Amino acid sequence: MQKKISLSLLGLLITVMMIMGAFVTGALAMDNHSSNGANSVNQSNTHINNNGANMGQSASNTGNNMSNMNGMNMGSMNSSSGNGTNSDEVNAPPNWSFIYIIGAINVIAIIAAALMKKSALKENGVN
Amino acid sequence: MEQQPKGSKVLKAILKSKWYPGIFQWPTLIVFAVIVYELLIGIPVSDHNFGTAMTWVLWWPIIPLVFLFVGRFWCAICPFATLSDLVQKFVGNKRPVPKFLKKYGIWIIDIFFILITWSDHVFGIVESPRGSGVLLSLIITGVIISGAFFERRTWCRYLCFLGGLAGNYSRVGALQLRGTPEKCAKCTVSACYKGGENAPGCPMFEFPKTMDNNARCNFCGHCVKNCPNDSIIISARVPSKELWFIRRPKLEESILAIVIMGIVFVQNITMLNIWNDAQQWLQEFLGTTNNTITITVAFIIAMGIPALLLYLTGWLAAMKNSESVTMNVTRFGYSLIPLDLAGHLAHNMFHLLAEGKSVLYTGLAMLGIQSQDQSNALVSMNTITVIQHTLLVLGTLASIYTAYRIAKANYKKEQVRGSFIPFTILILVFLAINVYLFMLPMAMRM
Repeated sequence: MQKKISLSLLGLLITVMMIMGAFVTGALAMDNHSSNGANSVNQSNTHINNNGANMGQSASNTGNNMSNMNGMNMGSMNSSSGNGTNSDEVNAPPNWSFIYIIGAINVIAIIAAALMKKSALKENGVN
Repeated sequence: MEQQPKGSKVLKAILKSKWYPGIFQWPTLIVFAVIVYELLIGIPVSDHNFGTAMTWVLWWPIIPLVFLFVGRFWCAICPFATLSDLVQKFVGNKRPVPKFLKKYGIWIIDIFFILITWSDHVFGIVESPRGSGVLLSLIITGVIISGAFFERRTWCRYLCFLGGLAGNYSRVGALQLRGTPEKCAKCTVSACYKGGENAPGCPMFEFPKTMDNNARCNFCGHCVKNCPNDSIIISARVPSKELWFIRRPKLEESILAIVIMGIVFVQNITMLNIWNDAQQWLQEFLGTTNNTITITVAFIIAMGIPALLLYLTGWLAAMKNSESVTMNVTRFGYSLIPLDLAGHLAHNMFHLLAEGKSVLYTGLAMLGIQSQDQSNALVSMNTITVIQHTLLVLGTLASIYTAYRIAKANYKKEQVRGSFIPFTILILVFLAINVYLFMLPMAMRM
């Protein structure tokens, strides 16, 4: 009975963690953006130039009205945004604390599994 | 009774080889490691990040094509799965899958898929290398925990959101793996499921003897290697044929089909010029300038409309075939999968073909070779538009025909038309929305 409960809890933990992960991922992506706002202007310019180049080249291939696309693209970048889409325009350093924490969780999980392996395989009837 | 196809000897030989799937797994794992490094530690600007280009311009657009041509082959070589296998090999507890995962796995995948897409739109994960890196890191953690404690590929089968998508799309796939009924009937060892000397048992918890669909099979080849009777057959089939004869349709799989339709709409709408105006209007209507709220409301509307239309269509069909609305939604939800796949492909073909060269340029930049002011486009916009609309037409035809076959397989003569026509109209409505959205200019990812 106890084994069943612990198994369900473990499964539940993984599920909750992954669902929460969607939120955490976004929050961290947003954090990268908000904490590094100072450089956004220069990077933003680079971004626009690049996209401009892309669009220009595409336009020459096609003859479509790419000015519309170009304008839309920039607008999209500015608005859908407020949060995440500008995060690529900043000089975000690696989030070392996150990397260490996630690394530590993985290592702990592996060590825990290694310690429990013998008893778990015995319980499961696996040789 | 349907005749058993002879199958491809070449494909079978490949799957039987001791080099397969390792020959694909290891290079994929190495590239994946570089991608994760680039996303977490490399250049934080998506335009210049190799990880972003590889993930969202190359891999994500190509993956539905892989499902279409070779089913869930990607799942056999997926770096997450390889990681899970490695962890399991050394420290795996191989505990049985919790019952609630077996029962609610697809629902969890549905929710997970919606949440990831939502958080992408609210926080901009795709456009942020760091955000993408965090997402992959969290998935890696889930995979490691799952591989360390639970048996086989619990993650891939019950929790992977891409696996859910792959399961639906692979039903449309042109390749299938089956056991030979006459040989399997006499088999007493079931090495395909349990495993043998040559390979472990099916990592996806499938039993080829009774397998009648491709939703879970990842063509890993373990069953081919283990079968003492040479029973396994790998053969080509008409794409989407599997959807015509679903024996036990599941509501959660139909819901996933309509969720994907909604997600493709959301992806398209938020990349369009009209999105700014719509967002502004929504902000005024809601009386808030909070982007999270407006995007969430827009998201709910874009996801809710297809679901509501499916429910109404199910209700109309129910009046003609006397089955419940839920059963109609469950049965005919599968008919949307070909159009789902076409819409998904059409959307991502834009990114692949209009931004494909960014993979090369960012890769070169990683090695210190700069290629400034180059076009990222592989082909002209006109070509992309033609490809997108061709895909949509093909997907629509496949969806309509699937709806017809589902109706024909489940209802009496007079009920077939009454069940089939409402869903055909629904499919055409989805086609019209897709065509309209694809006619509008779209923003780039890079």
